[in-house]
Amino acid sequence: MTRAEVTEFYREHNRALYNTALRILGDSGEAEEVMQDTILKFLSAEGRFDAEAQVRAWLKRTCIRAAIDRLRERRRREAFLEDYAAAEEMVEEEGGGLPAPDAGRIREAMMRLGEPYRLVLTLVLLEGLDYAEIAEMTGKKEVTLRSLYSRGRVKLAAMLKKEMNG
Amino acid sequence: MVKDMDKLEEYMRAHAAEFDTEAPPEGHERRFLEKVDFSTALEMTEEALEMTERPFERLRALFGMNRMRWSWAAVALAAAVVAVVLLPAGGRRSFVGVGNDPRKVYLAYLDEVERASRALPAGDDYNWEGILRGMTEEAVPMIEQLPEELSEREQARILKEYYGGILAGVEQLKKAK
Repeated sequence: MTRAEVTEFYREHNRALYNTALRILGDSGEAEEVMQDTILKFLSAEGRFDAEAQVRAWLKRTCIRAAIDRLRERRRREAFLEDYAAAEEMVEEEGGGLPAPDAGRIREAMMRLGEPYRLVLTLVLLEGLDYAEIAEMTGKKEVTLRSLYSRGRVKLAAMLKKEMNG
Repeated sequence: MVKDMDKLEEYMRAHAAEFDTEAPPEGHERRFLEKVDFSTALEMTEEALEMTERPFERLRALFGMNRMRWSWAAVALAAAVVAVVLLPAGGRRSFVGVGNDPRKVYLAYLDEVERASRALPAGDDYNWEGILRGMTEEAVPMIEQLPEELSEREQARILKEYYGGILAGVEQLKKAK
């Protein structure tokens, strides 16, 4: 690939991958590194893809795995995910319904969620992975992930409602 | 409450792309391009390959020969070529797209040597093949000599420098033939 082609490829894919990594890691510097390493890995991969969709899928999966690995390194001295699933304070439910969904508000609320909740909600709702895939990537049991997901969505809803109520 | 959360989920799944609004930190593209390392990019297009073969035809005309024969002049020329090749190459060949995998750097190097070999004139009267082989063959490849303690990134950097120097010499050989 020429320099121009590499630059064009980077410009086409960097934002989506950066946001995926950012949602998982919650840190812009680390998200940038993971995003760039993913693209570099693709550029040096020997495989060929027949369709743009395959390229995007490969990039997404690779980025997610790399971000999870980075997260695991960061938390290697702490129990990864289990503590949150095992012992968690009850989430107080606010009265009234949820505000009309808004991507910006939801994104901000998710960034304030605890890391494990944000990870599982991101992978299930925004990246479209199923529990089996997430279990394979994280090394955690599906039951743990489902528990995190349930608690995570309740927490997210509670945060959004609290914002609406002021 | 459950119904509300279901709606929230539905919305997030349907509007996933709308969540990709954050831009990477300023300067990210520059940092990425630095990692790719285009400092001495050389692109062997068909046109470039053809152009390296023309000097050899001019050389043949200069010596007034259709076939290169061994002669003192030819030996002197070979020595001059080898001397040019052995001089510090300066700069290094770019291993564009290879990243920091030392194995891929080595494979890219082998690809370049093979490409150079194919670009040599047919009928090895002047032993260009021998000269190329002398420059590029290794009793023990450098990749196997590097200490395992070095990170892959460091190994790749060293290999790019090392093989880049050899390939710069090969380029000189192709221009001189």
